[in-house]
Amino acid sequence: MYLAPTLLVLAVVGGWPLARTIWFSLSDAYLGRAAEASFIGLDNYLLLAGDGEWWGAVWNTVVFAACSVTLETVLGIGIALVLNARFTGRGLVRAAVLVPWAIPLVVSAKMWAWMFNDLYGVINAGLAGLGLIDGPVAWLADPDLAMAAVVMTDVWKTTPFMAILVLAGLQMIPDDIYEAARVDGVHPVKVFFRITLPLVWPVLLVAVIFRTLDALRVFDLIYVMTSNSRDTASMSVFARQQMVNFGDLGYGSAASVLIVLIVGLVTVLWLMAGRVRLGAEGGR
Amino acid sequence: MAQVRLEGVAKRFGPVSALADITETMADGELTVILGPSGCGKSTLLRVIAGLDEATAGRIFIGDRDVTDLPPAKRDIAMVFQSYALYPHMTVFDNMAFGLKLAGRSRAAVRAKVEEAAKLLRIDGLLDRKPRALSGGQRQRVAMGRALVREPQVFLFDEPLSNLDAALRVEMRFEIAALQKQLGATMVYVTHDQVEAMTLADRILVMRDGRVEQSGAPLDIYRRPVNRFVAGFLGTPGMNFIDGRIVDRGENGLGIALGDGGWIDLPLAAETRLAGEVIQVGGRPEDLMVEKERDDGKHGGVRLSAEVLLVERLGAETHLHLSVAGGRRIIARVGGETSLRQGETVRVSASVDVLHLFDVSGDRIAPVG
Ligand SMILES: Nc1ncnc2c1ncn2[C@@H]1O[C@H](COP(=O)(O)OP(=O)(O)OP(=O)(O)O)[C@@H](O)[C@H]1O
Ligand SMILES: [Mg+2]
Repeated sequence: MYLAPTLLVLAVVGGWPLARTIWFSLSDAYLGRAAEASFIGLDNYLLLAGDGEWWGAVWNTVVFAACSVTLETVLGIGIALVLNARFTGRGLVRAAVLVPWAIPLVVSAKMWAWMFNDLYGVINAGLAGLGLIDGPVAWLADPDLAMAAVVMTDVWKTTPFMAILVLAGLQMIPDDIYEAARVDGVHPVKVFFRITLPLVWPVLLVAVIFRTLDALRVFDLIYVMTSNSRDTASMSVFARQQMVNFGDLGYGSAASVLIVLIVGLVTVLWLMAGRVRLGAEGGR
Repeated sequence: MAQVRLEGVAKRFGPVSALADITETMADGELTVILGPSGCGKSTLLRVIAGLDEATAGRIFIGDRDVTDLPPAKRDIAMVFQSYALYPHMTVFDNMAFGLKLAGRSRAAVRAKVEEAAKLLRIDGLLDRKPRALSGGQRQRVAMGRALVREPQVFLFDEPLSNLDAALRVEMRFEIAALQKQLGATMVYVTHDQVEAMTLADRILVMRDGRVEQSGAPLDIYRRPVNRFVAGFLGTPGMNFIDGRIVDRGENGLGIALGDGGWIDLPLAAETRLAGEVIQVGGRPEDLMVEKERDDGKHGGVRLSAEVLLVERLGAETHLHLSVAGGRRIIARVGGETSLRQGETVRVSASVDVLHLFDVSGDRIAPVG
C-alpha cells in the first residue's frame, strides 16, 4: 500500500518512456510525425539484423567495453594495491588519484580530443619531441588508433573509480590475515592470488558489472571525441544518429530496445558466472 | 623444541619507544607468560620474536640460531593471533593445510598432519566448515591447529583467549596448559589477565612501559614483587598500600607509624639506617585479619583501626572495604561467614612477615620480615 505512490512515480518516470520506445520500435514513426505512426510489427528489428552499420556499432561497443573494462580493472587493482600500502603522503595521493574521475566527462573527452589532435595536440608534439614519430599521427581519424584513443581516454577517466572501489574492498581485509600468511611463509604472489583476490572478489564483481554496463551504453565520450565516425560509433551513437540525424524514430527505437536487452542479458550472464565462480571457491 | 633468547632487544616506532633493552631467556619446553597493562609492549615483544616487527636493536636467538634477520617463516615459529586471523574464504582444513601445501608437502602427508592436529583439538568434525560457521571457541581451536601442524620450535600466543566468554576462557586455558605439557612445547604467551598468567605460566615476565620489571616463577613474583607496580599488578583484589614513616624507638626497636595511631612493629633484624624514611606498606587482602575492636593487646605487631565501608559477600569469601588512617581505603579478604557489618569500627592486623615495604620510588626495601 505504502509502495503505491513510489510505484506510480516509477511507472511514469521509467515505464512510460520505455513503453513509448517499445511502441516506436514496432512502428514506422518519424521525428516530427510520431502521431501518424502505424504498427509494422518486427520490421525494424529485421532490418537491423541485416544492417552492417548496426553490427559494426555492436562490435565497436563490445571491443570498447572489453578493452576498457579489462584495462581499468587490472590498472585499478594495481593502483589500489599501491594505495593500500603504507607510505607517507598516502592521503594526498589517494585524493589526487580521484581527480580524473571528478572531471565532467564531456570536459575530459574534449580535453583528450585536443591532446590527440594531429596538428597541434600535445601527444604528437611529445612523441615527435622524443623522436618516436616522424610526422603527425591522425589519432582520431585512423580507424584502429581512434578506438585505442577512445579506450585510453575512458581508462584514464574511470580507472580511479575502479581503484577506489577495490581499495575499499582491500581495506576490509584485516592485516593479521596477511601476517598469518607471512608466518605460514606464503609467497607474496601466492598471497595475492590465494588470499587477496578471493577476498576482494565480491567487490570486484560488482565494480566490473557497473563498469561493463556503463561501457555498453557508452555515448558521450565517443560522440564528443569522434562524432558519428563509423570506426568508433557505439550502439548508442548509432541509435542517436538514426533518431536525430535521420529522423527515423522507429529504427532508432528498435536499436535502443536492443541495447537495453543486450545490457540486461550481459548483467544476468555475469551474475550467473560470478555465482558459479564463488560456488566453486566454496565447494573446495 | 628450543629456547628463545633476547639480547638487548629494543623497538622504536618513530619517536615512540615500545621496547627498551630487553634481555631475557624463555626456557626450552616452558610456558612463559608476558604480562602487563595495555600498551606496555607485550604484543610488540611477541611480534619482534615472530619477526613480524623488526627489532631496532639487539639480537634474537631461537635455539642456537640467530634469527634476528630472518623472515617469520624461516624462524620456525607459529603464532596464534588474538583475532585468530583465519583465512575467511577457506575451510577449516585448508586453513590448517595452506602453509603445508605451499611448502610442497605431499597431499597424503598434509592430510595426515591436519587430521592428527584436528583430532587432538577435537575439531575433526569441522574440517569442511568455513570460519564464519564456527563458534568463538572453535575458531580458537582452528587457529591453534594451524599453529600445531607447522610443528614449530616455538609457539607464540597473543592474548588468544581475550575474545572468549569467561567459561570458555577457563576451559581453553586448561586445554592450552594440557597441550603444552603433552607436547613439551616452548610457548610464549601474551596476556594482560593475571589469573591466566598465574595459572598457565612456568615463568612470568611482568612488563611496564617497554621494560621487563620482573621475571620469575608465578608464586615468587606474587610473594616477592620487586616494586610497587608489580606488587599492585598481580592479585585481585590488588595489594593495599598505606603510607608510613619508619621510626626508631631506641631499645624498643624500629616501627612504622601509619598515622592516626596506626603502628607496625618491625623485627629487631631490621636495619636502623632506614629510620626516618617515608615508605609505603603493602599488604595483600588475604593477608589482613579483621576483628571487632577490643583491647587485649595481641595484634601480631600490627595495630590499625578502621571503619567498615562496605561488605561484599561472594559466598566463599567476603571482601571488606575499609577506611583507615587518613581516609585511605583498603580491601581485606575474609571468610564467607563473617559477622562484621557496615559502619562498624574494626581492628586490622597482619603478621609482619607477609607485609611488603616499598621506598618512595616504589622499589622493594630488601630486608623486611
Ligand atoms: N605500528 C605501530 N606504530 C606506532 N606505535 C606503535 C605501533 N605498534 C605499537 N605501538 C606502540 O607501542 C606501544 C606498545 O604497543 P603494544 O601493542 O605492544 O602494547 P600491548 O602491551 O600489546 O597492549 P595491549 O594489551 O593493549 O594489546 C604502545 O604505546 C603502542 O602505541
Ligand atoms: Mg597487544
